[in-house]
Amino acid sequence: MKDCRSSFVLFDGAMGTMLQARGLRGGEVPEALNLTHPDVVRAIHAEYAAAGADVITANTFGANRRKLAEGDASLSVEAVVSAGVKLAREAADRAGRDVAVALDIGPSGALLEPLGTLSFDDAYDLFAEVVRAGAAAGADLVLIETMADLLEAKAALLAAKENCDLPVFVTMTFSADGRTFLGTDPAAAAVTLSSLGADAIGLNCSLGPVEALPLVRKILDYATVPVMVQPNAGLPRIEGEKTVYDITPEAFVETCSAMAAEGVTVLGGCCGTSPAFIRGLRQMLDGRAPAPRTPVRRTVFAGTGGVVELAGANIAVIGERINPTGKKKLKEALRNHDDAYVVSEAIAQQEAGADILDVNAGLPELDEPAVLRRLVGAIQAVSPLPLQIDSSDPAAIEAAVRVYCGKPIINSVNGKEESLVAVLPIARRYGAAVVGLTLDEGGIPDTAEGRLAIARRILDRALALGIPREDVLIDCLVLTASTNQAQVRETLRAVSMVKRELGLRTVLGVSNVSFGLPARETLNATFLSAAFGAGLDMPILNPLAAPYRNAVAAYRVICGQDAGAAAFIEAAPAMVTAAAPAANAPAAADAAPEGLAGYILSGRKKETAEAVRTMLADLPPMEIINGHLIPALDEVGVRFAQGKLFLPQLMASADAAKAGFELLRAVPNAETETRGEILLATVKGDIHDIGKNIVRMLLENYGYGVIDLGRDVPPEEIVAAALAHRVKLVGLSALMTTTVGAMKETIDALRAAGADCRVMVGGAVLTPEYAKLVGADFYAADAAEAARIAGEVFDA
Amino acid sequence: MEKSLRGLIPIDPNSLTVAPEALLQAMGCPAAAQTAPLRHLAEEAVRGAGRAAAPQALWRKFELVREGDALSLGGTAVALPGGDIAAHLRGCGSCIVFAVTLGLGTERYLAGLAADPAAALYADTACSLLIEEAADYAEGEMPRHTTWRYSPGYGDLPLTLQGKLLSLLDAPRRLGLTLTDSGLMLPRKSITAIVGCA
Repeated sequence: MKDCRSSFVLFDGAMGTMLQARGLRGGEVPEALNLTHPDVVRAIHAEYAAAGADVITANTFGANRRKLAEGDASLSVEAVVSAGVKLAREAADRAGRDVAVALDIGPSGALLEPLGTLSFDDAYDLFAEVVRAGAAAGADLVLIETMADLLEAKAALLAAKENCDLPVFVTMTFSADGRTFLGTDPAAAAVTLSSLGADAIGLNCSLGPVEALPLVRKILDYATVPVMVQPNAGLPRIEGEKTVYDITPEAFVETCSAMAAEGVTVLGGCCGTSPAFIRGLRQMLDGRAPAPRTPVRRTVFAGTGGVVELAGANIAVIGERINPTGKKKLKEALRNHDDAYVVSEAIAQQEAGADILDVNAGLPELDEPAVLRRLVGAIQAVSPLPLQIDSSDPAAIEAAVRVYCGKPIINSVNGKEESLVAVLPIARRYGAAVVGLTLDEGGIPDTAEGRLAIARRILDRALALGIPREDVLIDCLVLTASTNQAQVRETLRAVSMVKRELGLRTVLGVSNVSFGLPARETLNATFLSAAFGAGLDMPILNPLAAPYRNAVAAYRVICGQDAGAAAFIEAAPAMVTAAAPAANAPAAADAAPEGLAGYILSGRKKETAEAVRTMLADLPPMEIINGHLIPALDEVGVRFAQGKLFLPQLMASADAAKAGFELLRAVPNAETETRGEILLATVKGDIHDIGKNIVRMLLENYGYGVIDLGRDVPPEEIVAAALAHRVKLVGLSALMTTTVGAMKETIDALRAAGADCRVMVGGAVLTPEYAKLVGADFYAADAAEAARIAGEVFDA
Repeated sequence: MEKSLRGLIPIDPNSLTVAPEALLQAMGCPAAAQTAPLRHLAEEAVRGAGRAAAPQALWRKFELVREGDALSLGGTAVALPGGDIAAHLRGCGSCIVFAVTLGLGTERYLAGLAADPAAALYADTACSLLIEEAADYAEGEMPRHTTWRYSPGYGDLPLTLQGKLLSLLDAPRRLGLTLTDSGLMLPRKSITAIVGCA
């Protein structure tokens, strides 16, 4: 097969369009034809070979176990894939010239966790099965295409690279807004797939070639490997009573010719294309040499949404808040599987202007690889930002980097031999950037020269492994001014030297400098400015603190990143005037009763917190909870049951009460022990969790400790947690008729395991009768009822 | 070329309107109990849902084939089982199968609110109303039809038909709309339905 780095490689066009023209009916499995109608499939391949294609794509797009089972449970992946590759091979061999066969791999057909229900590992296994079958059947390369989820594309790419030695090409499909359905832009896709080691990457399907052109330019700009394009012949469109495609073969070829002129070397067609299109491309490419491409060497990181690039003097802020060290609430959240809290911290930092988020799950009692991996999944599902995977445990780093959707930063490696040997290969394998700490077996050198020497050693070792220079970042380590005052200047000097002598980008954890001193934010902000002056590129800091935000905004004017100071001017009013009080909901127009109970009943959060604070002067926290907060909540529950209050009011009251509880929990040495532990979960197969979360909120308000296992939770996980925590009450939620079965399965498993607990169930499709049928002890029609049931179980 | 007619309808979320009063109503709160602070929360939720949504619809028209009691979509291997859909499409010569979704941006948006159950509930309800609005809008852009929309899971039309309809529409590729093993559509704020044409 021709080398697409030095010559054009022409793929074939659509298979589905051709099969439909030959009578494939909607609702039939196209890949089944490899077994039932081999002649039809082979003839289509032969037409494309005759049209001049260099690569014939086997009819295996949907030949994964999930999609085949959807269509016809009797089809085996191995049989369908090997028949498909064999048919393509037969057509290729009859072409009378060198024609290669591509194993075609399309999406799994399911959305990955945590937004969907397919786990990364299951997606990997599903693709690996196809890869092994295709390689065994004699494919020459693997084509992963029409991917709309970058994480799924990564699962398929890893499955291909780790289960065969064939070249792997990967293309993704983008919508009219220039992003995938999950919000990934072409730059992020190009950076991620290039750094993961794909042999060619690009775009297919999506739009017609004209609409695809600007996206292809973006990919050409960011890809460090050959670029491939297989556009549609446009979307089908109605004219009178006829379905037509937007574009003629001539116009298609013309736009593809422009792409070739800009550096695309691998071309072909997707939906709506036919041998006529491929013939046109062949004529256009013949006698022509690929346009030279000199990929830009850049320091760039990718998240699910886009890239962060350090060009010129630009800086990027790394948010430090997802790190349990010294953070009580985050520690609690990590221990309680409360990913929602971690996600809200991510969003808060993102909204405060962080460019990258550091993620650290280092608590001694946690299974760090498992937790870090889960957090990365939860955060990348909602935040588009690149992540910095922060751990000193190589196993945790690899677990998280493997399932990361984008090109991450690993924080960190250091100059110790054991660290270099363990961490750098992970960065190489997954195409991650890596932060090198300037310390080694001898500790942190006292001099800038000593730190530079370690930085140089880390760089040399990275380069030797094939990690690009741009992906090595150096942290010269900030020491505390209160104990190592002289060292503060050495750190700044080291930053300057690393930049000057090695040309590497630098990272610093800024807030360490002020440890043990008062007015920390002032000291930190000043140090930050000094560090920028010394050449710091990426401060790790708390973006929610205004002094740092202001220093960053100001420096961006000075270094030229904030063109025309536009962002600075926009942020300026908030810098010069005292922060305005947070916008509150307009006060209730109707007069509400005064006093704590009145505030809770009318859902007034601020007043509730103030009333609790006032009461604290005279009463112990437990008395406020039992004597005031809970009776008020009971009253809310009664009025709700009577139809005098409605769900929005109930939520407002719960929110108000929560504000009161949070204040009390923050009281040092307060005895706010829980009234007992309750386990909550949405059952397997179901990902609706709003109702369950409302129940959790109310139960927490009542002083119960809630272990929330989240959604789509398998029965065995619920049983294990129920036994481990010896809970007396389990609450299960299911919203769909199809998942009520999983509820029964879970309850049966709890009983079979001898869990000494009672079970309450709730969810839109449940009724008291249904609840009995699945074996539950209680039916909770709503959250207030769930709280009443808990009272019955625990106070009995 | 395919014989059946089909189309993709991009929908501007700003052209869909959800009244805060309707949102509170949908949360079980009657008009008389709707205070200004609650309406304010509802307005916020509607705005957030509108920003997160990228609604699109996909439709395809089929001849209806009747053999005895059996009803199927012409030119496909897909049957429409059960008496209820047959009754719904009585007198129709053809039908339109369509899917409409708010897109995965909505899933990301809702997942980001999980730490605040109240905000999540408002947002979820707002998205549920928005998808109904989007379906109404899409129906207005589709060829003329004579019945209201009928979805898998109504009456005796099995929920398992969902996957076949999505596949006929090429919805996974065109809309990013897929089905979980338990038959749940993702994005959740999506609707599939059949309407009859004369």
